[in-house]
Amino acid sequence: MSDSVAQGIIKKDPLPGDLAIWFVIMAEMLVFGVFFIVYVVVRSNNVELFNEYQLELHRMGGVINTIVLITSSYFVALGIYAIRKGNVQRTGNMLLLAIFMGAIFVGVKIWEYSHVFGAGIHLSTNTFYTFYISLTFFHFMHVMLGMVILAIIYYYLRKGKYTAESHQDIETGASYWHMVDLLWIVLFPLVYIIR
Amino acid sequence: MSQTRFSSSKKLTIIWVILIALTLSTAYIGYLELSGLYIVAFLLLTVTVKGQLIIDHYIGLKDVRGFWRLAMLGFVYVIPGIILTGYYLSSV
Repeated sequence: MSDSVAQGIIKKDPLPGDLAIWFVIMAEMLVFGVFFIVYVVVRSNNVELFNEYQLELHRMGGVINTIVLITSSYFVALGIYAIRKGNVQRTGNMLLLAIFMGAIFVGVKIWEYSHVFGAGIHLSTNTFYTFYISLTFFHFMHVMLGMVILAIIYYYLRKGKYTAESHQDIETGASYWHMVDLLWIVLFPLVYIIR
Repeated sequence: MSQTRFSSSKKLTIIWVILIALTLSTAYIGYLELSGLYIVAFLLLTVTVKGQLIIDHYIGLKDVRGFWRLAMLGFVYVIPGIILTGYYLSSV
């Protein structure tokens, strides 16, 4: 137990990363939250259609992508743990693994879309596919941006910019990446599984 | 910074195992194409549990002051709650 707790003062941690990213995170989660609610409302008026076309989705692709994103978050968390101990090498390795997991997500998603669009399905095919394509593609773009952020952080890590005492950029990027994971954790069961 | 954030890489690994196990349970339900309000409730409960684990231990908000942690937790409690309500109303 820390000294501050022993003195009866419960000290709290500061927010991880830059405050600005937290406004971005809140805005993104608000947008997706509204999107999810609209999905549920529209589905309530088209239950049979949503149940029917949900079965056409590649659930295994969704499962793989969920495992991949959770694992990438795990690597990012380990990276934060490592930089707090000043282990720059391990931090870099964890970031690379997280980016690699992101690349797997992108690959699986492209494979999934190739089957969907290859079957002639598009945004206007029906209401279910309008939501499936727009929700997953919107999330996909966030994964891409997250990977770019992690890659930039990796670049500066290798340049010697970050230390145990100074690594706010890593915390900022990590927070954004975990948000991307959180969004998929809701999206996957909602769109692929729940019926 | 407190000792509780990322206090152990072993803890992070245990949480990863839990997250994967919950994901595989969701996948199995999907494989069986199960439906019904209790199934929906269970799936959304896994979303909430997974979300809280990530928010508290991966993002590291477990010991962060008030608003931000509550707002993040709100996403994994309120949204699944609204979704469950929507599914209940559509099944009535």
